[in-house]
Amino acid sequence: MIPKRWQGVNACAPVNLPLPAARKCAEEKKDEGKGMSTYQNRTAKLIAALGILGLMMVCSVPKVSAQVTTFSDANYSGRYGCELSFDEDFFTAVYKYNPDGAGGYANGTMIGSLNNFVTPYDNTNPAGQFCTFFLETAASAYSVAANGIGNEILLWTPSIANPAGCPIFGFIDETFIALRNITSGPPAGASIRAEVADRNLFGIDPLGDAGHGSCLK
Amino acid sequence: MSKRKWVAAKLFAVLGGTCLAIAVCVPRATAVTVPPFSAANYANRYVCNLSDDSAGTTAVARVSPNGAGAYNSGDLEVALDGAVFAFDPAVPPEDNFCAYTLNPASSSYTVGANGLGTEVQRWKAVPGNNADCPGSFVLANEIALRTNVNAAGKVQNVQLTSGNLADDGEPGYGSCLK
Repeated sequence: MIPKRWQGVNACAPVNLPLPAARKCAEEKKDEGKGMSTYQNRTAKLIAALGILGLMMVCSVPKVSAQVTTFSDANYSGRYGCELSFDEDFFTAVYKYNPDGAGGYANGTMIGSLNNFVTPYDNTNPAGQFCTFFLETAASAYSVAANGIGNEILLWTPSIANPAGCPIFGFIDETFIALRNITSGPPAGASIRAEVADRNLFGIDPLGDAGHGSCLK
Repeated sequence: MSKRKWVAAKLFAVLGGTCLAIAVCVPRATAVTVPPFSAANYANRYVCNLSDDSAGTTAVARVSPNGAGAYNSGDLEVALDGAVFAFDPAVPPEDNFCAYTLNPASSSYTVGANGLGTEVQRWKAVPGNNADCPGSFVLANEIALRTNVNAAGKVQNVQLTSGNLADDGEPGYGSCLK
């Protein structure tokens, strides 16, 4: 039923309408009896407008996000970029690796400055002053407990392309990691960050030492 | 209006109605602002990264403050200087680190209105730790809560300065994150 306030209102009265309005009226007349009335048309538009408003509310209002309650290896998965400092910050390194969500790794690369190992620093080739190590995935593993604390055994071997002065032997580093309770993909459910404590960066101290850092998605 | 336009308008209306329903029904967060802070802003699960450069000690921890000045639980894994506890690449990580659990009954924390607080945590050595690991110890932290609270009003980051990590009697520092 058409509301009273709309009754009697005829936007297509025979007056000298401008051309676009006249075209619109002609089209409406042509469609009369085929489907939607002007009232229905306006109602649909109103609902659609409310819907768009709803969509905007869905997108803009902060929502409560799900949190991990029981952790597992699956929560440490995908690519992470990490930094470590070791032995009272005397040695440092960055690495990226890909835990596979099942206790293994897809790959990994670690880079440390050459002056971790030799001095003085060579200014003639700054870009070449780094040592690269690759993760031996078959000999590396990790495990994450239900409380989100995990540990890792990481075997790193030096690149054959490293400059002189870099270590020529690989090393085993062992870490404990604490996963944050905020997840992000890819893949879904992977923690966005792990805090790291380690014991044997570069294998440079025969007795090992203590280091720390973090790994971020 | 043509039949095609009519169908399109109907579809649009249904879609709009659905969106409106979602907007009304999806649980929403309430904005919480700080300061003033209180113990309630430091709650649920945090992971921490601790370091004590003068003694060469590092650690990761998980703690669960209860939002009321006490803790529900906590775990700590400590890496020690090689001169104190030699690293052995032939044994698993559990045997190269020192593990501790928090004693919630005798641990507590306070948070002032300005967001500074104090933690007193009693860490109990896990049976089976390496003989070179320190025994149970008390760790005191001075904490600074950041203002980036989540939807539930809990802070996402805490910076801290500590004394006596792993009973070494040295000052240290670190941070805890949600």
